[in-house]
Amino acid sequence: MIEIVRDAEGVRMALEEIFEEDFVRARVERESAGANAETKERMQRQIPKRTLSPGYYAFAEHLRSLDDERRAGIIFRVGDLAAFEARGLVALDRARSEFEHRHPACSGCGVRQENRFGRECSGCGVKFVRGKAK
Amino acid sequence: MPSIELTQPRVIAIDDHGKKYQLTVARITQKQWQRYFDAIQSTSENQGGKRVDSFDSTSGRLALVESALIDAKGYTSREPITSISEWQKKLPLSHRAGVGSALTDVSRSEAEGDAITLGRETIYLDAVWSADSNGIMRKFRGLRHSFQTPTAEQQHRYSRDASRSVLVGGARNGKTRWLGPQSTLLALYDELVLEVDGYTVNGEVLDRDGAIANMDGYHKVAAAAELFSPAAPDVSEVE
Repeated sequence: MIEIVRDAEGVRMALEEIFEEDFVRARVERESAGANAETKERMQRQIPKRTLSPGYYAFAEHLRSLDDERRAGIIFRVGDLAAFEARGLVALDRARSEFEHRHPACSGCGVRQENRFGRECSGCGVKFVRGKAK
Repeated sequence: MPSIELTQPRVIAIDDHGKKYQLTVARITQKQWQRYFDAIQSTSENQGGKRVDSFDSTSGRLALVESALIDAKGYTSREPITSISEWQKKLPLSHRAGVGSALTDVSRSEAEGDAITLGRETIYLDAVWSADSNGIMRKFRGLRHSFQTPTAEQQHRYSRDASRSVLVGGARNGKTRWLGPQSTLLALYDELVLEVDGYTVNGEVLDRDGAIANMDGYHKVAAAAELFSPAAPDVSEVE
């Protein structure tokens, strides 16, 4: 029996899944706007299923709310955070970096892409120019 | 308006096949409530991507009842019931469970309250407490608990402790056992409460210190939990 908040790798995986889930959900909602209920339901199935025990996601959501405050400029003193929360925020930064690497943002409109290999932006349609490897 | 008298033992009336029974429960201490909260088995697991929750407070509730019962009337026995060894455990299971249900019958009130004063949070509870002199159990409605607005630090503590759990088994197929935020809620109640209405101690209305010292632990947790629950938006169907 382990306390979930101390399993940093499991927490990082849960955060990655949540980032992916939010990304796909946002796309599905964008693409299914105006579709009938049946189509919407079918498209909802594209949202990836969670794979971990629910406690990981509960703690991950707690970390995300701390992170929202941190990104809004609220400064935490050392004593404000438990050690496992500080470790969790490090795991969150890692999970976000990996997510952002997989889904780079369009430099024109900011929309994150399905992967790194698209030829044009899925948001504004601008063509991507690839630099040649030297 | 009748009030809950916090110092008196509670009498729980049970009607079973036309026979009346009265079970008397001593005032429950915060330690006893804490033991009850610790015994709750609240678990969740992932089944094919869906979260499945289970909740079982039966054993903790029975242990609480057995530790708090001080008298029982309506049963036949060769000697006075309270002189029988472990008499509490010999009462019918359904009666002990019924007492447990009455002790934990506390919910957010649907009764209409006063308009909210900004900077102050008011929670209304409904609760079953004790049988009246006619042996009738009644529900007290609109029990008022007024609080200061929680600070960001207090919100943070609640969020942290509500999200804590242990894993039984593997990360994917294992069960999450929630540790529960009740001890944090008990502490937050004491930090935030300003005044209460609907309760008395020896017939006197409670001030803030009186509420901290005397409020029932289960009511504290129920009221403080409501502080952190989002209010339901008023939504109507589009015609």
